[in-house]
Amino acid sequence: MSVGWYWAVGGLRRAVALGAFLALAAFILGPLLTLLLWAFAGSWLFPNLLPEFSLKWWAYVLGNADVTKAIRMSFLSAPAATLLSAVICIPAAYAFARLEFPGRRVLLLSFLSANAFPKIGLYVSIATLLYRLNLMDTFAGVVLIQVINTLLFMIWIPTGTFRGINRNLEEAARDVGAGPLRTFFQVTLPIALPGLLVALLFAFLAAFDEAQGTLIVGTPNHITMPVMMYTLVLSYPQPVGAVFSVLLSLPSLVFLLVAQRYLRAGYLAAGYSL
Amino acid sequence: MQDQTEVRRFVASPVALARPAALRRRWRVQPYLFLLPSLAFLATFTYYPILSSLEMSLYRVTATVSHPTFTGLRNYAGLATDPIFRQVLRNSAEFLAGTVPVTVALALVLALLLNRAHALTTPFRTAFFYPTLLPLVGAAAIWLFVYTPGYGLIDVYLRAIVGGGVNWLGSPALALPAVMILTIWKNAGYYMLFYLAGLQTIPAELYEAGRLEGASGWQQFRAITFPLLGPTTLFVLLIASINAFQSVDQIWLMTGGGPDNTTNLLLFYIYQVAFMFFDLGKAAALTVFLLAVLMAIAALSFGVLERRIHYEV
Repeated sequence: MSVGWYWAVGGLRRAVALGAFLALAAFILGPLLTLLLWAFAGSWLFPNLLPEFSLKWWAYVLGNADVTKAIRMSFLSAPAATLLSAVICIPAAYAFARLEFPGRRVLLLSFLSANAFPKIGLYVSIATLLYRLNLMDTFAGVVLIQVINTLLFMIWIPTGTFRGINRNLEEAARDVGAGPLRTFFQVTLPIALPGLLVALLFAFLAAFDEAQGTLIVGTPNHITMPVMMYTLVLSYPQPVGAVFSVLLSLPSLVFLLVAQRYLRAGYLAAGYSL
Repeated sequence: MQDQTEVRRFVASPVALARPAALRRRWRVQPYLFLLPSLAFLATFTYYPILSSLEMSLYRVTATVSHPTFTGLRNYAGLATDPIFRQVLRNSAEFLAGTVPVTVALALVLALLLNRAHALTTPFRTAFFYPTLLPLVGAAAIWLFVYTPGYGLIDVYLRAIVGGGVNWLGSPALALPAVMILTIWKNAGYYMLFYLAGLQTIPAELYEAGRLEGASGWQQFRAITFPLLGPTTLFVLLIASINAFQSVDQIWLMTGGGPDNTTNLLLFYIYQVAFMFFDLGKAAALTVFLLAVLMAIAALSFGVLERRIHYEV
């Protein structure tokens, strides 16, 4: 009797947990499923519970010269911003993780806290600066504004990665006569590669994601996909915006497929410890 | 503690001792050389603009004034009597209170549910994390269409059940909650990742001890899991609060601050004042105000975080 009661309560608890889980899953996955439906929806009107299948809006979107120009701009500027960010940030991350020097904590904190600055406010001064440098409405200007978005990921994830590498391996390489550069490229870098890859992918998405700064700096000739989205939502039929939001979410899907193997919560959390 | 091991390793390493003096001096400059490019970038594109905003907030700079005139604190005084600013503050507070606790709680629940070995754990973790990786503009567009009467998912299905399409984003009462729901959806998976990392650091022996003492699942959560996740929770709360104040893309795309300023948040108001009304002095004052709020939040949490971590070690 008492055992039966125990199982009943256990079963109830499990049912509640399952119910909560299903509700959460519906909340999170529902909109993603809509996205999937849109990808192939011709029109979706009440009272149909499912849309009618068609690819005509894809042809419409991909045939639009403004749209293809924005896609090209996004896939040129975001990789450029990611590479520039990697070149300037990875040495800094290495220094933060491996070298002891006065001011290390304060400087690392200054990188992390810069992400809390109100970005739109900064864009006023940045726009003035870029205007003086003749960089408004240029590719270089768009890349610079996107790099700002990537700094956090490019400092924080590599710092955590380098910190997680056993120092003895590097010292062993040094002891057998490898110079600092050789040690870095033949010992440290290969071990750090998965973490750096995750950082690169996050930085790419952060650059790709940038909308407001690019709108301010790149208008009217250097429009990226997120900026284009705004125009599409305002002045095109809904399926166009829906199809475009599928396009916008493709890079992150590719990211997940590529990085899932390397994507451990540790990479994100590690860099935050000072 | 780490410093001690550092010192020990340094003393114990014959290579370090044998290093010539010139080489050691080079090593002291080297960290700053490594930092130079990124620091220069950071200074130019974040710290200089902040200082420049501080200065600009003391001037009257608008599209109609040819030369900026020094006006002291008048831009700040103007904010105090600006009814839209007061509404924006109210909206931002509501947005903060409506998104941060819910998102963080949801993230914790997701992490607890997915912190077990099961064939479906990884696919679900990945799927729940996916909204985080979507561009915010893309996510906002998805929800914009979900909410759109006559087109979106909610409307199509709700109409079948309740009847009558609700214009979520057009209603002053529902527009801000609608934007909040998108924000919660977008961020829960991100914070879940921090909680999953936090859960890994809790030793399994503690739960075994708890079970031996006959503690129920809920008691174990209250006595072990939640207290030991304290630093994670605090950290996630910090990031979530900063994110709440940094929200702008979704407002820009979904509502444009409307209807009747009911979804106008601080950062979007800065955008309006600077790039639509061209009142740069006022926009700078708003920027300084928001910066002060964000820095206060950061200082508060880092202070608490620091203390908590010391207690634990």
